[in-house]
Amino acid sequence: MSKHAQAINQDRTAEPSVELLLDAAREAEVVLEQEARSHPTYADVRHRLGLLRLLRQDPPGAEREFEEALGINPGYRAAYYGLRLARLVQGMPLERLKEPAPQTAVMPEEWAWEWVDQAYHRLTQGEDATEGLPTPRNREEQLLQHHYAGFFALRLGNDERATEHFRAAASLSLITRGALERLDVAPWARGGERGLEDALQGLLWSPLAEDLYAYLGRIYARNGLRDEALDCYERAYLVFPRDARHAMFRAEVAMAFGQEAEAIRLLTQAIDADPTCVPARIALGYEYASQGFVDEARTQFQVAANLAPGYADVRYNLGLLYVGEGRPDEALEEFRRALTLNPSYLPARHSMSHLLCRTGQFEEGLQEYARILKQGFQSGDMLVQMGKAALALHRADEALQYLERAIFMSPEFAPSYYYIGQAYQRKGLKNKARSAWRTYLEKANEWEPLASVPPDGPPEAPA
Amino acid sequence: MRFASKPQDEPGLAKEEVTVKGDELTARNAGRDLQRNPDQPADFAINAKVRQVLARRWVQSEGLEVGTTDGVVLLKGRVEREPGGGSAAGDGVARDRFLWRLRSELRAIPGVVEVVMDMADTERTDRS
Repeated sequence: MSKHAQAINQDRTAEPSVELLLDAAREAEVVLEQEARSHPTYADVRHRLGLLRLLRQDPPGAEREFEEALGINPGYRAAYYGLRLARLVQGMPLERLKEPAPQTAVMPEEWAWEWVDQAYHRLTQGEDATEGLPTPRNREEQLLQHHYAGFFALRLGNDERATEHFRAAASLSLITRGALERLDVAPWARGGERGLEDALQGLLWSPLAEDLYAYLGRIYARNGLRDEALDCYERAYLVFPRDARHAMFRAEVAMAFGQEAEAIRLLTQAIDADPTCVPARIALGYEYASQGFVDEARTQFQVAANLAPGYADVRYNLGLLYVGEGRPDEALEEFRRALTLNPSYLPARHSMSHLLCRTGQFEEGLQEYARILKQGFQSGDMLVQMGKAALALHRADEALQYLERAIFMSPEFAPSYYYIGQAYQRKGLKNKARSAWRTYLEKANEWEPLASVPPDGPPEAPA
Repeated sequence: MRFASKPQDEPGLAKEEVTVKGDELTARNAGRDLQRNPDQPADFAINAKVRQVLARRWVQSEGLEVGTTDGVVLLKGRVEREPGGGSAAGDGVARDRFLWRLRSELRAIPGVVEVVMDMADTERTDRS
């Protein structure tokens, strides 16, 4: 993709406008090449580079990258299909395509890779690319076939047939319709005379490219170029029409730009399209939680936990919700589940230790905190909690140890002084206790008012 | 003279609990626990806000543990950002500056009393 995106910063004071130019593909290339150099064992970086080379009309370069990826991870099925694509578009002889697929688990989206692989294969044989494809079993498969039949018709110069397929796809999917209109190539719309061919031939027509377009979209979005990002997501949809993913990509941009209502709308749309979409449910749970919609947040996390019982993060956040609702037993249960899934999950153990102490289970809480220390982590606030628990257990000497460490680690954390004052008092050291409390007052008073959250808008300027 | 921590600072004594009269400090009820202001957002809401800040800053959630306990935000793991933004990946100075800014933003979330970052110098793993 060589087209430069343009974002015009319209200055309302009629000062000369600033024009930002960004070639996301070029930026991606720089970043990925750098990453490939610094992490030569990352097959996924090589794979993405391979896709990028294909997009930039460099099939031999792409072939090398996919080979590298497979050299690193011979079981990498996406790279296998990428390699085949790179060879197919170069018109390589069949014997170079005969390597069997890796003997690893088939990916859920592999049906689409397989279909398109077959279509390219037929095309290189001079056959009708879409002949003989399996009968679509559902709307998603139908859409994919229409999109690719349209593209292959374009390649053969059959604009009429291409239009037919894109019309059929647009009748199946409002997103397809919107994508073609947004990219200004819809044959039925004004401006469609720009022609399908120019615009769509420039796409990397492979379902594998969905990931690449999403990646490029994030680059645009991170640079504040929202429209260009959304264009990338339309391209991602054209090469792999998955409604839930499309909504997720757009929701990600909405979240990044602080458009919370839009994010909720899109995440809901993603779930409507695919009720099993766990990332959408988790993201929606966070959005609801941040806005104080506790019941809605809990529902999303609970459904996500049922759909994907292996997500420790979901269990942890459910636990936090239960803490907020005053349901400590259920919260502890969720924290324990999170820790069963991931025993080194620090936030879950931290929150669990705190909750145990808060509910009077000081000994158990201290034991959990001790495990965190064994993990090599400590913080001022955690040591203060340990000190408090030791005080509750009438172990002033032990409390002093924790609290002195807390002060050493975080000398500005005021509560440490308050509790160490208590520990001194228990030991009859009245002067030390007073001194500690005086320091507490000084420190607590020194804290500056908190700054307000920066306004929403484009991400920060480059450093 | 009377001292009190600001309400949003959470671990503060209520005004009447600690006073200084002349040169003598009197701590009434000093044996009590410091309590969070009950009007402060709950940990789950803070945690969700933290996620929002991370999303706005294009921090990848993979490889990063995010938690909130009693208003203390804990980030553990690897802070990896999506590409773009003009700073070179792996630039230590830019990374430190970013973490400093991130910490300030997280501190600005209502109810946050402290931000603890345990940014291990770990690399992400291959996602193939």
